[in-house]
Formats: sequence, C-alpha cells, structure tokens
Amino acid sequence: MSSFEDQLFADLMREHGGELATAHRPAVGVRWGTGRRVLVAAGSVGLAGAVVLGVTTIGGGSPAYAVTRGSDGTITVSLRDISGVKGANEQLRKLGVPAVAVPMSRDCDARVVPDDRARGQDPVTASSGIGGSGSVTFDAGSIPAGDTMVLGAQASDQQVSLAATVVRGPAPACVPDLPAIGGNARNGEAGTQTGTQTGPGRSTDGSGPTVRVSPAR
Amino acid sequence: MSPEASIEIKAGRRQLSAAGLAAEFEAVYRANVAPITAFFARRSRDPQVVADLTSETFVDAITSFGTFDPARGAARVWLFGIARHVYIRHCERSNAGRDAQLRLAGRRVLDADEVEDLVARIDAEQPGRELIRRWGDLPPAERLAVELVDIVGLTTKEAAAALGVSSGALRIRLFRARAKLRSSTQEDTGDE
Repeated sequence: MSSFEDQLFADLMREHGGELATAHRPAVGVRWGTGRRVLVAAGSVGLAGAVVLGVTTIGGGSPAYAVTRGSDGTITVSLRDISGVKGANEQLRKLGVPAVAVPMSRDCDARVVPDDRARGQDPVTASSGIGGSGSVTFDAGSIPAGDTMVLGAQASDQQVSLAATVVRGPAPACVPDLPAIGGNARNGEAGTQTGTQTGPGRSTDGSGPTVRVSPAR
Repeated sequence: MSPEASIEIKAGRRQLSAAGLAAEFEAVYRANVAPITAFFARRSRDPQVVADLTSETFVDAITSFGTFDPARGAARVWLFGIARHVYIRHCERSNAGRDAQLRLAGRRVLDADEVEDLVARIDAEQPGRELIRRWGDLPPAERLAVELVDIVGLTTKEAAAALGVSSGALRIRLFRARAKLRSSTQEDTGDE
C-alpha cells in the first residue's frame, strides 16, 4: 500500500468512518434474501439420535447425503458431496416433504424470491456443520402451503456450503451464490459479506460441534 | 471441524456490525484503490487532480456503502460506476470553471511523498493514456467501453453494469469501437 493510498484511507475513515456505523445495508432481498449458509471443514459424517431415512455413500466411504427425521419430527438434510443432491431429493419426495436441494452457483440467473410469510415462523430450526457436510434441520409442517424449502448446495475442495430459504411455488433449477463470506474471498475479490460467528453448540453425534442458527426475522 | 468454520447469516437483512462494515469497506478499498487511481491517471497528468478524483470516488463509496449490495455485482464494477460519474462531474466543473468548488473531502493538499507516489503511477499509465489519446475520435461511450474491457480487464457483463447499459448494448459499442480502430490502423498503415 502506497503513501497516497494509506493517507487517503486514513482520511476516509477519520472523516466518514462514523457513517459506516449508522449504515444499514438493504436486504440481500429478492435474490437470496433469507438464505443462510454453513461452511464446514472436511471430516466424517455422523448423525446420532435420529432415524436415518436415506443415505448414499460415495466410493464406499462417507455418505454423500443423509435425510433423517428427528424425534421431534423435524427433517435434517445433510450433504457431504454434491452428488448426494439427487438421492436427497428422491428421499424428500418419497416423504412428501416440500423441500428440494439445488446447485448454488454464481452463474445461476434464477430469481429467488423468499416468501415473507415464512419469516414469522421460520421452518429452519438449525443449520450445522457436522464433519464434512452442510446440514439443515427444519420443521416441514411450518412451510406454508404451496411453498418449497430450497436448499442451495455448493461444494469446494474442503468445504460444503448449504443455504436454505423458503420460496413460493416450486424450487428453481439453481440458486445464485451468496456473496463471499468474511475472509473467504473469491476470484481475487475481497470478501464482501461478513457473518456472525457463533460459538459451539450441542453436539448431535458426540464427535463434532453443532452450530445453531438464530430464527429468521 | 472447528466451530469457527461455521458462519451464520441471519435472514432477511445482513446484520453487519459497524466494525464488520468498516472491515468490509477496507477490504474493498485496498483491493480497488490502485485500479481506480490508474483510471484517473490515464485521464490526467496532474497528481492533484488524480488524487482529488480518486478521493471523491471513495468518499462517494464510503458514504453510500450501506446501499452497496455485493449480491448484485462485484465491488470493482460498482466502484468504476462511481468513478465514471465522478469524472463526468469533473469535466462539467472544468467546463464551467468551477474546479474551486470541489468538495472539501475531495480536496486535500498532498505531501511530497504522495506526490512522488502519484507521479510514478501517472508515468506507469503512459501507455494507457496514449491508447486513449489514439482513441480520441471514438465517441466517449465507445472509448470507455473499450477501456473498461481491454485495459481494466472487466468482462463485458461487468463493464455493462459499470456503465449502466445492457450487455447487448455494451457489445455493440465494443464492436463499433474495435471496427473503427481497425479501420483507423489500416488507414495509418496505408499512409506510410
């Protein structure tokens, strides 16, 4: 950073830094507004204390996906590999659960309009990282009639990302990527979205932490 | 997996703390201040003018950072859109003889180190400045389209967003500009 750039930045923060404190960024809104994402590091998948409804393994090893029903009736969808999307969707369809996993990518031009009706009683009860999978738990009964819980799935080398939102009508074929989070800059671009890191929560499998997600507003 | 690997995004409205927004702005600033400075250095050899216009761009950026939606496009595209408007305002002020009315935030007396730094940047943009001079016969809209794509390195989609036009319109500008430049080059060669 040069002399001019450093000095300009110092001036900007001194003269206008306070305005950032009062700035309110509009909702991500019409594109992927109620999305939430979990980034997890690679590891093993384990789901204890739940009825496993469907599991497919990759290469004879860890499950690519798991769909489970908890004792409270909630549905948990876990994806460790993007190839598990198809199997998870088949299982959800068999169960009559109005939820669909779709690829999430920057190239997707689909317009995703979250259903505001779902914000009052957020169907998602938890999002977690368990081993290498992104996992979302939701109450299917809280999804408004005619709506679909869309689970945006994206895989990278060491991480699986999973985002969830409720949309009116059927799920789109894909969902636009959420902007980079925190220090996860992409394509040489600075990270453009900062999330709130949460502390460790309860562990559902005894081997790894689960992170709860606050209810939607 | 460490708990730090999990990041929450609350629904609907991104809940960024003031510190989070400041950190985000700093990242955007540091990633883009050089190309924005270069954009103005291709238009002026005066270090004070380059400094003023760069400052004005980032003052506009920081004061409207709350309205910047990363989901709608890259920060660089957003900033070049601001820089374009800043330069238009600068030209209007220059034409009206109102340079002295520059906003206070955009007018700062440079120290010797900053002048030296900016002079080096201006010198480094000499080839780009020469290209723009040779493109002088092009309409400003076509010239800017070629610059953003061929010098700055934006994609046609990004350049279209920065200029506030459709991708189709941008491609037409590029096509016309490049055709004229090819024709001009051939004429120059023929004259020799």
